[in-house]
Amino acid sequence: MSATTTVARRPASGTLAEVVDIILDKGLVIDAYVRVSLVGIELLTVDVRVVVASVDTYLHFAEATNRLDLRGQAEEHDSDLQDLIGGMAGAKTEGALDAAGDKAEGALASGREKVKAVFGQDDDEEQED
Amino acid sequence: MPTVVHGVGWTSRMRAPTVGPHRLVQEGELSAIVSDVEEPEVLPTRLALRTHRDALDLERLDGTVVPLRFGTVLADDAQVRRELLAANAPAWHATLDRLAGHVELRLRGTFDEPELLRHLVATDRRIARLRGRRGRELELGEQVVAAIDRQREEVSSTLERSLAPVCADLHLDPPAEPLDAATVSCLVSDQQRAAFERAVDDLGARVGPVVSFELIGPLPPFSFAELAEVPA
Repeated sequence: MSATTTVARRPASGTLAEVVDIILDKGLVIDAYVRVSLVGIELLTVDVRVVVASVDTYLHFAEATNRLDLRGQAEEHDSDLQDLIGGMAGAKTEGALDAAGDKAEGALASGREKVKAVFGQDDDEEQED
Repeated sequence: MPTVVHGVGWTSRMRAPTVGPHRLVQEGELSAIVSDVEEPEVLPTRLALRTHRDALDLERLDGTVVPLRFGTVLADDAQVRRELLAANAPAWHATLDRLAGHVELRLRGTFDEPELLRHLVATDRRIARLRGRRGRELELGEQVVAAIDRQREEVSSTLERSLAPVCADLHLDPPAEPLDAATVSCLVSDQQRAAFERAVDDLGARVGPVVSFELIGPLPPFSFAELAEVPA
């Protein structure tokens, strides 16, 4: 674990997905103090607050921990190992764990991913409205 | 026609936009960067979000701007001049004075799942013991989530400790996803910028590879845009 990590620089003019939370969620709110009669304001919050401590999350991390390759090799080895373990496990247990795993995956593909799906990577082809 | 207000700045330091749907509404020393909208309601479409983002693009602006919340709509330009700018002029000036020469930089740390789990198995005996035990999955998961919470606390305080000396203000955003390590928004002055960037690189080297970092910005001070209280 001695490898260093370089910090990825994301300019604000990059993809919308990287700044959408701040654009929607922050900025000065015209309120009672700023005596202005507003015609409209969308007080939106990016509702990506997932329940971090849920059974689905527990099962996801349990499964991920159990199939961890401790030799520290690339991730594809993890899935090999999972196949191997899956092949050896009883059919009933395997099915139950898979179902739990799928559910957890669903829960984890939460807010930010959805936002990314909506706004996509290429910012330049919007024709809506 | 309703006017969408994106931000407020000093007239002397704002350039009239040459491209895009934005224009400036001027009231003496203060100007608002605005765009037009048919309906007095701005829905968060990609186009509307881009319009707001681009209005506040630091590369197009000349100086400091106070970003307003997305979707702020006033009846017309006259109301922008009279009610928004003129009526609150002292507060705008105080706010702009506070934010002048500062940008917002946002550091987002995300756990690398395999690296994190390897680290936890190697350092947490309960997790190591429960790993691979049939029927103990829920217990294992609970221990892992609790350990991730502790890691998150640790990363957050490391970020706060390392960045507080090189920025004017900072705050932490709550985690949104199970693998979010910490997100911190920092108000950084021009003079602090180089030291801040060094501190960020240093964090990347120190906390990695369990956490991978993204530095988003420079942005106008979205997270620090509060109108100053000026005694009447």
